[in-house]
Amino acid sequence: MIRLEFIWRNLWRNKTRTALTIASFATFMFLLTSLHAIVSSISEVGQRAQKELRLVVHHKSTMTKLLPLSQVPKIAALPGVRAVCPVRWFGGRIVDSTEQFPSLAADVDAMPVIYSDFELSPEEVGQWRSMRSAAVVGFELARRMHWARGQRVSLRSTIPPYAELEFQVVAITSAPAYPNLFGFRLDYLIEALKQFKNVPAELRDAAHFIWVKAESPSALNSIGPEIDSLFVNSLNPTVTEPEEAFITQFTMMFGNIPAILRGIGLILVLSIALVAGSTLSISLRGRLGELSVLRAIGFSWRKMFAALCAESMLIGLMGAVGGGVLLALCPRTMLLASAGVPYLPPMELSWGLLGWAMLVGMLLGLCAAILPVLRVTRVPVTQTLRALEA
Amino acid sequence: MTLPMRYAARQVVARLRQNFLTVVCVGLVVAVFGYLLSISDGLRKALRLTADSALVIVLAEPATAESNSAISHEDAQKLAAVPGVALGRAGQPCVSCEYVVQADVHRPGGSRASAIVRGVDPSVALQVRPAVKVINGRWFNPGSDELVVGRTAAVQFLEGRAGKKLLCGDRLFEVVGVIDSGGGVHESEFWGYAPNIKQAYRRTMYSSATLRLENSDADHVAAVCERIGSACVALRGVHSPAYYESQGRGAVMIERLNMGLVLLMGLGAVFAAANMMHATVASRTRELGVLRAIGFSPRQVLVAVILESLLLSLIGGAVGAVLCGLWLTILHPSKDLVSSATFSSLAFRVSYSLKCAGWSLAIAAIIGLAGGIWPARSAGRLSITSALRSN
Repeated sequence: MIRLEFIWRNLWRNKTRTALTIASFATFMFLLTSLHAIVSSISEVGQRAQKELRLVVHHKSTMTKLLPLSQVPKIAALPGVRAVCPVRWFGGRIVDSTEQFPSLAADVDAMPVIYSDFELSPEEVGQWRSMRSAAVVGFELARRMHWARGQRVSLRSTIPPYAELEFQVVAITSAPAYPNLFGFRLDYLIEALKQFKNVPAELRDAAHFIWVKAESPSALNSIGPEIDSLFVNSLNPTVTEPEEAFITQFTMMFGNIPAILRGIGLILVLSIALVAGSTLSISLRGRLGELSVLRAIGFSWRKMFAALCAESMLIGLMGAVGGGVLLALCPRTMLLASAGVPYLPPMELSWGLLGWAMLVGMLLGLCAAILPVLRVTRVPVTQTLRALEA
Repeated sequence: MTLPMRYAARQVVARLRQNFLTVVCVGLVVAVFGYLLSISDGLRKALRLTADSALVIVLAEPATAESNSAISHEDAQKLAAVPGVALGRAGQPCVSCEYVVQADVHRPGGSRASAIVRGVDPSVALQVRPAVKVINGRWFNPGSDELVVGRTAAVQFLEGRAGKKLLCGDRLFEVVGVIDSGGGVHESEFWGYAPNIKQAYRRTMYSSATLRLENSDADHVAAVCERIGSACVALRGVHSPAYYESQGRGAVMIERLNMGLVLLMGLGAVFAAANMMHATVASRTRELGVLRAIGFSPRQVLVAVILESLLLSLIGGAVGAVLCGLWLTILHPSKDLVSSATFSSLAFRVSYSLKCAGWSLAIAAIIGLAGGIWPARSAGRLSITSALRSN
């Protein structure tokens, strides 16, 4: 067996070359690992949503059209439904600020049941119930705006009739699916809308979405079609989707983000393989004679092959670790996927991610090595030795 | 100085095969850059083409876009009386009050998007926007549930194909024609007859109004906007170029992403290029020694190596640019982006411009220079005697 030391020494024979290759590998791996982290946080949010057994009901024609609140008790009466929560888009902005975040009004009683993943303490739930202007804020939004519990916030809606409301933050949720959420009570909003004479009652007592929580996974599948058939011939036909599908569709409205990320990732993988492959073939060209001597004195081509591949995999491993270190050093705000897109969770760093990067790095090193190494080891020893003499 | 250029060019030809992989790597970086730049430029261009300096868009005071604006019919009537507005052929003021609503559409891949449906009265809307014309099919009949579709939306959304039906509010509207507005965002919209759209969406208020002014002087525009604000307190007038400028957030986001990607991928490529040049310098140390011995200065050798790196990188860049251009032209002539303020999709055409190609080559050149400079310095510093002795 060829010892690891032999491989290690060979690796550092040309320090500049190896250092440059690792540096190049590390920058590409940094990008690749960040992409992977974003994609896996997105799918993790989807998986968590599945466990919550939630469905989303919205208007059939477009999500911006309101559904009357009279639909809520009808849905709640269906068998298998645990809770129903109307949610209304507010589109609030802080006056004189360009910050954008999703602000939504939700039913006061149903909210803590439907969004049990907010993990609010009993005290926080108590405040939410007792204070009409209560608001629950996502951790990332709170960090960005320097809000703490008890903070008073005034928001003006960007959709007609442009109500302006004053809120008090009663809880900051660390739920990873809602980093930028601003949630408040629907009854508070509807009360405010009563002051607008030009808002008719059917647009006032209405919501954009109705969130439904099922009692069991089997009920989850049957409730959707039942809800839609309830309203199919009404003025407001509905579409009901599992929350996961809804979030995917919602994110897809902003473009096929996972596909774009995969495309960029593929290009990064190709670049890494090209860099590693080109370095290795340069390095092998210079060592042709020496390799022939090794084979002439009895090392089998299999051993040579393994040693050279191991060398390339080692470079890949170090590059991946380098990329991981860069990622860990990167300020956390930089890692957040664009704050303007709701439902895009922040990237989470973990040891598993580093493990993934190391594995991918070694695999890429191996892939890049196969062709150049085969080319060298395939040449008959006699031929290369003769070439050396000449 | 005849040495560096010709020598470098010949080296490139002789060594292209050996450096092929690194050259392709530079090409990839440039291709990704060009792809993203084309998209953000396409959006910006569409917004710029829509802007018309003789138009003022009237919105509700707190609204950020036409689709979240609401104007009462009472206020809309006051707009007709604002002085400084151009008069149409029949002597009526060029004030087009419109409903801007949304409908769910599907991209050819099956994913859902939200398109803008604009309810207009063609007799006024076309005098306000004379560039809009039907290029295929016919205009909708006033009073019937029909739509015309912008030419970009016709490509980007399945519902935009002729004869297809689109669910608008409560009713199905049939697509009967394709309109062109000389580029710009109206080509990503569906247009229907205002009263029909109003009924289908049960709207009680207009969304926005577009005014054509007598002239496009900055002073005149400002004066009209001020008169709008004083006539109707709840409204504000926005100069069309400023309005479309404010709708370009999506472009800014892509530009940031592109900047980050190019910086990092470029850095990776610089390391790769430096590696490549180190290897070529190392493999012909003796040759460089000979050049020095027959009288070429260290500076000329240095320049020759840098030029070689530059040329190799530029070849990679050119290949990347050409491939990216072909890809975009053949496969993806249009894209759409959602505005995070209004949740409606803005479709636009994407084309690989000369500007894109220029920037792409510039980036390739920077990669080549940055990667070549260090190896070139060590090549220039070679001592003649030891270089000649090496093999």
